[in-house]
Amino acid sequence: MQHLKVFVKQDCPNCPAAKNMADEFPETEVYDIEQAEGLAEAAFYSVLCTPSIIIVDDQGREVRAWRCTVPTSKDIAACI
Amino acid sequence: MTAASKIRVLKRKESAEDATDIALLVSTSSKEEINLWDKSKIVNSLILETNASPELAQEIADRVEDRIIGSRMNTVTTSIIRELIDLELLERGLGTMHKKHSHLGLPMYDVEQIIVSANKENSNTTHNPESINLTLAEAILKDYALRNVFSEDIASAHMIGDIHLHDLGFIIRPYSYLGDTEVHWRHKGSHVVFTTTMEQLYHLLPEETRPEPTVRVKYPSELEMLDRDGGWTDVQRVVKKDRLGKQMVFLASSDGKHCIVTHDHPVITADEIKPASMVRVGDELETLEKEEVDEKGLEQIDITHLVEANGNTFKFRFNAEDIRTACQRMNELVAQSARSSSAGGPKAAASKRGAATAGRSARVIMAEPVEVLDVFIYDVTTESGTLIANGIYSHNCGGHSLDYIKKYGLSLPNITSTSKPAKHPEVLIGHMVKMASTLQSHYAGAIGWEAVNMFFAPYMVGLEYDRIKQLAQMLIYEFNQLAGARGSQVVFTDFNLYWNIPRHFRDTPAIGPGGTYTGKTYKEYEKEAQSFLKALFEIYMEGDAMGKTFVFPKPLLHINEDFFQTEGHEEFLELACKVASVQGITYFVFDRGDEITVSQCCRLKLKLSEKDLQETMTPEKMRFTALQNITINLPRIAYKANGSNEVLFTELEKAMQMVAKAHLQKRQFIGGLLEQGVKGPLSVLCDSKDGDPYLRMERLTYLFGLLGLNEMVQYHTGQELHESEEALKFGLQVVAHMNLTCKRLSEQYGINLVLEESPAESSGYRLAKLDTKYYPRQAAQVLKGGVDNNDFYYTNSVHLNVEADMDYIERIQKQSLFHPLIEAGAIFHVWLGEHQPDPESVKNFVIKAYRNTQASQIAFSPEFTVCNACRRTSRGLHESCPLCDSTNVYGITRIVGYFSKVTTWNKGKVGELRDRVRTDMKGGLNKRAAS
Repeated sequence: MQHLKVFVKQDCPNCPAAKNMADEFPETEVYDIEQAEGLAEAAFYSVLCTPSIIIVDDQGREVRAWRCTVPTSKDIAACI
Repeated sequence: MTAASKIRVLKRKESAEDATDIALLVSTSSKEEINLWDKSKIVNSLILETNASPELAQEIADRVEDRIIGSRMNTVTTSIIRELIDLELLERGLGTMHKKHSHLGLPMYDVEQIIVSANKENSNTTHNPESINLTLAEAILKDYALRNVFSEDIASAHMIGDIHLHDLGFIIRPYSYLGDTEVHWRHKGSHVVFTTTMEQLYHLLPEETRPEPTVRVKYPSELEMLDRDGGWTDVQRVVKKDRLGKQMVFLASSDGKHCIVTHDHPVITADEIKPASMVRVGDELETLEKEEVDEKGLEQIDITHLVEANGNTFKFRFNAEDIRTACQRMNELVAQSARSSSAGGPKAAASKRGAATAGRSARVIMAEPVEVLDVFIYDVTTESGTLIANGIYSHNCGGHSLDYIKKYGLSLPNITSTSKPAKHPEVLIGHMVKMASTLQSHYAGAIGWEAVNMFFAPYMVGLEYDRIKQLAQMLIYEFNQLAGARGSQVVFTDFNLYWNIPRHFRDTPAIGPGGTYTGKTYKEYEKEAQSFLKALFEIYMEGDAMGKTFVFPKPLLHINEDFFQTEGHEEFLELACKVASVQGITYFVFDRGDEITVSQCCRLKLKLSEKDLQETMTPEKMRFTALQNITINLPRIAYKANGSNEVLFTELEKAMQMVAKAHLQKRQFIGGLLEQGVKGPLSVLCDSKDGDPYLRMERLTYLFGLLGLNEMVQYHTGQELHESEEALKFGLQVVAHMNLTCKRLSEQYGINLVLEESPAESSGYRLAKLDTKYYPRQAAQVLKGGVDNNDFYYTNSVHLNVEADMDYIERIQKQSLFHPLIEAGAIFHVWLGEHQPDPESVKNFVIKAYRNTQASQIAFSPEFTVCNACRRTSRGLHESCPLCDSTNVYGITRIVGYFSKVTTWNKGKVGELRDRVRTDMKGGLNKRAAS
């Protein structure tokens, strides 16, 4: 089962939009990169800025990624 | 005769009262002198050294005398007496007094060991009289630092191996104007020109971005400052610094201008630029006359008096209320002028019409040292590098490493003669080498030079390629062989090199022969810069007279997006990769900054603005301007946590707090030495004509080193970093936690703390050894190398196990995940062993590493055997020379970030060398190419 990982931080203007959109999809995980766990996860997926959205498969492997941009929900739906 | 008067004191001639006497003593210490017992000497020394009360001192002296008499000795040495006094102090619980009174010295046996056997702490040093002197001195200074610079808890954390305090030594020097120097500035394009003092300007600007205790900097965004000929130049930063007791010089000109600057401030005279202390009466200065310039429609407002209206004391010229009033007034005036650009002069206090234009010359009529009471001095950095201060055309602290020497020549307090700016490239090389050797004696770490090939380029115009190559050869040899003169350590130098002119230097005005601006920007010297770069790599390719790879200066080739867009990059990259394959010395540094800045917000790493780039040169540089590196023993924390995440992160926090505290203590110590100014031991760093980019106080970095993440994770989770995704993720979590903690502590203490991959050349072994002592059971489970033959080690920083059987693509993909979190620099090593891969494979690897990973730097390390008999170098490490069978050979390869002789390595590193998995760069790449 594929799902979304969303990387956000406080005071990031585009983050709320990314988060809202990602919430439309089941099992979405949200990571705050100002927390150690979130930052570690971001490093693991080579995420260097927010907002970023990664679609992973059930093994946690990256299927599709939008780094530093916000895709449309259509974009996401097309991949999931 | 009383018993006491029979005692004779055997003592070295030690009338030393200050450092000079003690230094003299060393050379004549064989002279011994027998004094008669004099108890009052004990009393006096206790009062002098420990501030003991006369009563206490007398009481202790009596006790010591009793003991000596009781021991029936006829002769005692002063060190025995000192020990007996210490014992008395300790028995009375007077720990602080004991610390002050204690003796720093070395046992006979240790001194003998230092003389007869080489010090392996740093494989970059050789064993010779000079290095023996250094090692002996270092032993005393280490002891001193641990007892007197750092607090007891930190010293003890170092001694038992929780942390490792790396070498002593580093600093910075300040220089600048006195706060009441007047400058003229305006909001960009505004009609209103303000005249204030530098001090007022500083206080009128909004918040500081990098508060430092001795240096404070503000970066105004929309200000211009009056420059020569009535032109305007952008203000980049305004700096306020502690004067630190520097000598100030009063300069006055024949047309009534005057200013007070630090003695080393660069002053522009008609003939040359020279330090203020060297300006003589009669020298010609360019000054600026305020004339009626109504045609320009500028209004000049002098708010000097406005803010000074309520001045009370000398130090506090104005208070917050005054500044607020001045700010309000200033904003009103700017708004007024925006509404009506032709409006007449405001009726504000002390307003005047007219702004300055015409430059003219005047003679210096007075140039004398002056005593001032000011605690702070100020400086303004402008884009043009110059400004009008008190009506005199002046310099600020711009400039870049090599440009600094190009512009000002060589003038150092420790070198008696002064050189003018170099006219010829050979002379410039000479200046650079001498500057580097002076800097090296003030630093523990590497000296990095920015964009070396680019800064040399203006000297290469019109030269034949042969000659350029000759110069490249001279530069490399001069740096490599500098160690001979210093007798100890090769000057650890990094050359940052660029095929494409880096963006932040493209529009920088170029300085050419004779220290003059050529009228062109560096972008226009790209061809010359490229020729010189190519020549440097051809020399690196050849190696030295024995064909052996050079060790220094390390060529750091910067790769960024622009590199791939620059003509000729393919051919040059092939050369650089061939050098990497054959000699190994190329370092590929990846600057992905441009990619990152494409996105608009919320970067993981700090965004560097164009301004910052000009300020910082490159992020790599930051680690060379570090005050101190302190490494945390990560496996130790896992042992303490014993499997508990909670305890592990708590212990990590505790260790980091301790490191931050140690940094603050070191800074306080160095600050104290700097306060002695040019008369102190750090005069070279206090004394400079111009800001030296790699030494600036406000850019100082305080390093957190990491050691043994792999072993920490292995002990805590049961798996090494490369063994499972969970282990790798846990490792990332530890480093992410440390990264965030650094940021938090930086804010808390107002200093810039960042993570670094500690080279840990000797500390790796030292900490591992201490763990075998204090945590033998735990350490035995994770230590790498041979525990039985003592060549065990912890894996460097966040690296994966060097013996892990995995291809290099997978290795770099995993290891480089850590790089964005380690801001002071990280490196990925490819151990080649005796293999000499196809340069094409190296090139593919480099490009893929740049495109597909987060790696910040990579290097390829072959191994060599150098034969002393046939003077030839061959590939691989061998017991005897493959060419002539001689056993008179030595091996060289990279120990950490540089090449050195394997025989000088410490045991831990020898163990690691044995375990390193070498690659011919075939398997991994093919796999990658297929995917």
